[in-house]
Amino acid sequence: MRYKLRSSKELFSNVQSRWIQPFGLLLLLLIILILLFPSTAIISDPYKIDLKHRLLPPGGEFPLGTDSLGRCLFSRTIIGGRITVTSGFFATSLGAFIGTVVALISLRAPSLVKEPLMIITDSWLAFPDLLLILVLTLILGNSILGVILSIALSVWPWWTRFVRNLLIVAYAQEYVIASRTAGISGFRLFKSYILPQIMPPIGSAFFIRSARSVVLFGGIGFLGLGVQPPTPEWGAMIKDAIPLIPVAPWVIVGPAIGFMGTVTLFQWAAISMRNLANYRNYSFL
Amino acid sequence: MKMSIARFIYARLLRVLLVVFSVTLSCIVIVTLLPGDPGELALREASEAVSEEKIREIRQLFGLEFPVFTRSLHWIKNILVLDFGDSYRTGEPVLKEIGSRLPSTMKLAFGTLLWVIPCSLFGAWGSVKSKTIRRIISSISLLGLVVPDYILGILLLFLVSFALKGLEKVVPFLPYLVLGLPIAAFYLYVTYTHITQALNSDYIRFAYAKGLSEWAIFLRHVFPSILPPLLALWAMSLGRLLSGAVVVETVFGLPGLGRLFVEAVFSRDYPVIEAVVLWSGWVFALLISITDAFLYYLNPDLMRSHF
Repeated sequence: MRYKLRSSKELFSNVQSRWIQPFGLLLLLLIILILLFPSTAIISDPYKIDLKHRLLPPGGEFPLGTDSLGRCLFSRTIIGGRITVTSGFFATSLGAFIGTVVALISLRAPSLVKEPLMIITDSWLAFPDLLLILVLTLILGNSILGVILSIALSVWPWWTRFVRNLLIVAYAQEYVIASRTAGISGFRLFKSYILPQIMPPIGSAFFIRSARSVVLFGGIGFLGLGVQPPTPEWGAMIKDAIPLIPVAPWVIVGPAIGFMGTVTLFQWAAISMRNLANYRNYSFL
Repeated sequence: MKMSIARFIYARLLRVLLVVFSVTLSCIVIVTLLPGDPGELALREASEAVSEEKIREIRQLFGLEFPVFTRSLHWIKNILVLDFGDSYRTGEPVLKEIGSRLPSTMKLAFGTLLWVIPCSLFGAWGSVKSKTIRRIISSISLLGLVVPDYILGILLLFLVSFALKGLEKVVPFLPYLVLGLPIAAFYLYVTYTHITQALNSDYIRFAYAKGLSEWAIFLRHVFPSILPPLLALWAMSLGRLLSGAVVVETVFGLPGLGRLFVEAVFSRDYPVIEAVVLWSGWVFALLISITDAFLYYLNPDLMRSHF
């Protein structure tokens, strides 16, 4: 044969080589720890305004320098990261929960309920996520909770479609049909035959969608429509950094590295989750 | 069989109409829930001194004194003749505002897909064929997957204008690059999966056995077989891009639909918000439906699974 047959996971195989796997896991744990207990990592008050120390370059007392109001950028990056990353995480969890519930209803309910439900899901999928989130933040307010709810309310149709398709495929497998004829049903069927099939793709999708939610949360902050100052948040920090870049390029370093690091780790977690189960036909990122 | 095909097409058509209707309805629900009094806000933006009388006047001007239900009916009646009302902010008809922003958005959308689609196709084929190409391409596309568009846009903009002097000519192309990179990465991944699946099939092995060249195999055998799912993907992206790239247009200061939407959200310009949301939903739903029908035309075999 002229070439080897390759599987799709090889495309990004350089991301998950043997060396990166333990390193990535450690880094992910470290980030979760820092986000859970930010007070251990903060070296100075992220809210303290000190005009004598404005726009200091990195070094000494301030590892990432200071911003235009003399606030420590390192502490602000960590506190901001806690808000941005956990919000993205919660929003995705909530969206996945709503989406799964709707998917289950649409599979079990009579067609009088099912058809309108799927049409509503389809019509919500037709709106771009950022547009929908911005409109919803107008309704729900731009507090942290309001933005989380807006993101959750705009991502659930995706989860409905995704979980619904997974469940339909899972129940149609021949060994599932065979075990049903053998008399296995109810919770035992779900736990032993369906759950192992649907968990790897759901876990993988959860990480990828979380990364997307984190970026969306930052994007709303970047547009100036998200969580309002003085609360530090990566997107808003990037927005504030733009006019300062020619004078003080270090102001963008913290949040930019934060975003890239988080998204990279989430992508990596998703890929290794998928490889864990050797699930290949999952092509919908 | 003929009868059932007609019924099938009717069912599809009915579903498109239902989705479009549901999009419109969702839009109305969202708009009804929007808080605050836009009349007062518009007035406050125009002048400092705001009196009760003035507010009542402006409410009457915008037709805000009617109850919600009457307003919604009125709105539906008007959009049937493509009258989206007047912008609270500028007083211009909304249709005119959107019309003035649409060329920029369309240019951005088509320009992006114009480089993304060929690049992802040939990139995927190249990375199936050669390990070095795969390494390079997957590294670049990882950049698109990992770096959020606003950071990438700002970094490239400042890199070009400060660090690399003499490269200012590239700036007009940067929006296409920043908007396209994540899409290209996603396409590449999906295309790669489809190509590897197609290469596993017997007819491709037979084509190799016949001694056809790589190009002939890709263009005549692999490409037609992977086209239908990719076509659906491309239509979906086009639908998304035509509703405006909010972040990229803001970063690069392009006068597109996304920028218009952000401006409208800032000043609570409800007619503009309604119209942009409605436009984005309609474009997406219609494009998806047209592609769907086209896929059945390309591969009538798909229809058999429905009977």
